[in-house]
Amino acid sequence: MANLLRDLLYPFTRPTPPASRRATGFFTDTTLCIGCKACEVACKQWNQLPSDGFNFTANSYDNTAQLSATTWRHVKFLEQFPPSDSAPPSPPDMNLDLRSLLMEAQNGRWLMMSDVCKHCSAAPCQMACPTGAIIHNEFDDVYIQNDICNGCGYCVAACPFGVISRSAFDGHAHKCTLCYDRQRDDLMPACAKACPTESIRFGPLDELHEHAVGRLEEVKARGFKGARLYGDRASDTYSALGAFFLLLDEPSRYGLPDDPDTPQRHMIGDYIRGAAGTLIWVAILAIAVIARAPG
Amino acid sequence: MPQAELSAARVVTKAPPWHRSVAIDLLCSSLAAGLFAVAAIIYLLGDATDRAVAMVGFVLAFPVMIVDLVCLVIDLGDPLRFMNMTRVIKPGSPMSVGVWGIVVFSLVSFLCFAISLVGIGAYALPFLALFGFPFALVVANYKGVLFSTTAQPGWSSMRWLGALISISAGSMGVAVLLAAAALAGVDDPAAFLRTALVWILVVYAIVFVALQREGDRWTRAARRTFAAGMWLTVLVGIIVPLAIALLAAGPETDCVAALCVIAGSAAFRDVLVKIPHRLDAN
Repeated sequence: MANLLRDLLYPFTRPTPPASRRATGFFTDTTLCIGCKACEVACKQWNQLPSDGFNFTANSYDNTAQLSATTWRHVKFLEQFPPSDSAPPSPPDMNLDLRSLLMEAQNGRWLMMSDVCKHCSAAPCQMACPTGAIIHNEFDDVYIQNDICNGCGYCVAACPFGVISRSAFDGHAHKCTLCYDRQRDDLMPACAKACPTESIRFGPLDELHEHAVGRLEEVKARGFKGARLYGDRASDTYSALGAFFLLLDEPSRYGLPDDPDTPQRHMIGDYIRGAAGTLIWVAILAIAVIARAPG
Repeated sequence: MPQAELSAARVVTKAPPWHRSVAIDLLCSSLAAGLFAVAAIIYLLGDATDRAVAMVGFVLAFPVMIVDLVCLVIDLGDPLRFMNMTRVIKPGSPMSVGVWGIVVFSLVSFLCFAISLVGIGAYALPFLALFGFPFALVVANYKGVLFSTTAQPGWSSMRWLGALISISAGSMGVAVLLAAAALAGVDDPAAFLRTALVWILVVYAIVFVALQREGDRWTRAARRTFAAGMWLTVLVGIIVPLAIALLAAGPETDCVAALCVIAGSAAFRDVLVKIPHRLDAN
């Protein structure tokens, strides 16, 4: 009985939150990603996440398919090659040099990207969560308190990036914690630690932004005019991201929304329209009752 | 199509783990809230005969709400943690607003149910009806806003969804009490409820058309995918009961009209819940 009472009351206790620390995040430079999936493996190993079954997805070298409750880092393989019915590529030029190899985009190219929770500054999942399970922790990262979440699924519906999923194992929502436990011990998140090319960088957000701007200039100077930063700053419709990216093409090519929208932006208007609809039917009924009532 | 092109055409979001039980929950919460709100209006503004009809509404609303609560709880990933919904009050989360609305509405609805059924403490009924009325409207309203303030394709561009769900709740409440009044042979309440039903269905149709005209490419894709369900909603849920109310009033036909309104509302909610799943699969 005491245990049951404790289990019921525990979620309602309010321990003192830890003091705020410097905001941290990820900068994922997709131009450096080689698709080795070391980040996926390191994430699964550290967070004790199960394998996804090595399924054949028929989608390039991808076998985890998407971010999920058991995959918190996902390496996307994006093949940009001409359709097969167009002219075949010219025979390889055997006089290769380093520059031609680096600028091989003549007949197509590979884009690789290690995707992760975006740790949005104003996170729709956090705003939507009715239990208060999703919070911004002391590092300003979006964190799901697994002991509070009841698996309502509203965060899944609210996330414009399709990051969060509900686990079939425990029924709770799960996603990247930005290795909260490691950060508390002043360790780097497992994925960033494992990344052999420093495509995934972890650190204080202000330092990451500075580094990202420098990298963007460098990449553009090398001829990649379509390069851009994604999520480094807030737009009219969405907040800045705590995990932002350097991309070589449009965000939609990477399976990211070009213009993410904060769903809660429309909430007041939707409530007003709902109230207007309600007022109309209530007024119709009230008038019908009063107009008929004797006297 | 090259793989990167495919990425650009795909739905980015993940469909929430909401299925048939959520559609039933949507229907039951609307029906319960509609019944209670309509009963409250009739009870507070009508005469003694009207109040007898209103009490049928109070008696029906609570059991329907119980079905709704069961659906709400079993739909959770961890149903034993249902009470965690009451840890916080978050006005920025329509689900949190709805949960608190449901908590208060369920309590008031239970008291009205008990008083109407047992007949003891009837003096409290007007106060309970007045107190519960705004909470019934919150329950009727919040689900539409809950769906439209997500990132889901189809739902996220339905700006009038809250209004539509609320009007649908009102139409169900009026239709069921109209059937009850017609079956009981009380002509006066049946007459004004029939008039109200006609006008509410007309407004329902207008908002439904407005909803069909708005939206992004995903909403248009959803409309094409679910054209049959949408037409069923219009035909069964609006046109048939409207025709019955205008042309063929009577106890039996009013019952058919009420069933049609409920069936149409159920069809719409079923389609609504399926939209992101189907678009995700495509």
